[in-house]
Amino acid sequence: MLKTKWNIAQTYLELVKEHSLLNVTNDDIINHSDVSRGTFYNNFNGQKSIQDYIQEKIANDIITPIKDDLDTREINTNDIHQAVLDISDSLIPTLYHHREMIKLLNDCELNHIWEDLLLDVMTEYMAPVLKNNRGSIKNDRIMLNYINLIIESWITEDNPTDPEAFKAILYQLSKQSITQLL
Amino acid sequence: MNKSKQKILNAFLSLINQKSVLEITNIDIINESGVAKGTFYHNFHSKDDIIKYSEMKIDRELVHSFVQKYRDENLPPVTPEVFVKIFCETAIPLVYEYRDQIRILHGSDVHEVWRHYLEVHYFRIMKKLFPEDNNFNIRLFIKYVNLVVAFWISNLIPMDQEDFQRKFMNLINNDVLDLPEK
Repeated sequence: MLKTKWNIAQTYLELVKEHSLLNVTNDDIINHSDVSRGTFYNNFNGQKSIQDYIQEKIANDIITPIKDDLDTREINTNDIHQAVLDISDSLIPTLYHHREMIKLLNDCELNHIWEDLLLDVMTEYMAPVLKNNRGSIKNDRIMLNYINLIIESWITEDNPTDPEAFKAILYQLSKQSITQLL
Repeated sequence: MNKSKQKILNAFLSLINQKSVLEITNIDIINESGVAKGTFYHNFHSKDDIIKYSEMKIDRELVHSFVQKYRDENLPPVTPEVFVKIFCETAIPLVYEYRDQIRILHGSDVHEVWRHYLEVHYFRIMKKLFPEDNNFNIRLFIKYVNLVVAFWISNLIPMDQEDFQRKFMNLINNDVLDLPEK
């Protein structure tokens, strides 16, 4: 049963990658995944519920290990740069390991499936530091999203830099302004 | 400007503001816009086309006003500082003018499709201006600018454009982990 469910989800992603998010119908998915209409609708209501299922799987396979790792760390609430290092130590190897899946989601224009989860984990870990640091909640949101974007830009490259080298890049980027990128 | 195209785009925006794009058919858009079926298919083949059109329309004006301003300033060498300054002076007023359209796209479930067009487009432009820069940095720069602009415009009542121009320069010229309060 679970295998069928995951097969349908994979077929869905392959179709979206080829034809784009807006040009895939439920019938296309049924035809390409070789399941009956009944089986399809037993498992899913439609494409939104397939996306939710993929997100659940990402939460289990990718996000939970990252969270568990972060839970073992002792955070220094006075050192925002150290907190970013902690995060990158936890995230980067795990994401690298799952890079094919993430790249596929990127090609499907479904990055939010993994990024929303990642943002939640980072926000939770950083909360005590940010609380301690200063006031502007809007700037905090921008900062956390920026770290997400750095990771997204890296992991969705055709050949992402290896994890150790990228940790150094991320750390460097977190200490400079945007204009300095150019 | 093509009136039917604008009607169709407006109908599409109004629909994605209400429900998931996956539930919207071409017939829904035709009905909502009040144009004839033939007119619709004469202008667009798919929902993707409409999103692309909405991006291109703003983009054409943006490039035009950027180039105009650049000429007015007597063609200085395009350093990152010059680029950011002219971008800030020309793009922000335009984004403000189109804020309803951009807010709806950004808040809908097609925001990644739209973001993708935008990133591909601006990557090509910036690569021409900064051919020596590495692709990773250019991609990240575009993603960040898009992020802060989208955050600004996604407020129901965004701060006015002069205030945001100041804020924008701050967000882009300071270390992201150490953004100033104001």
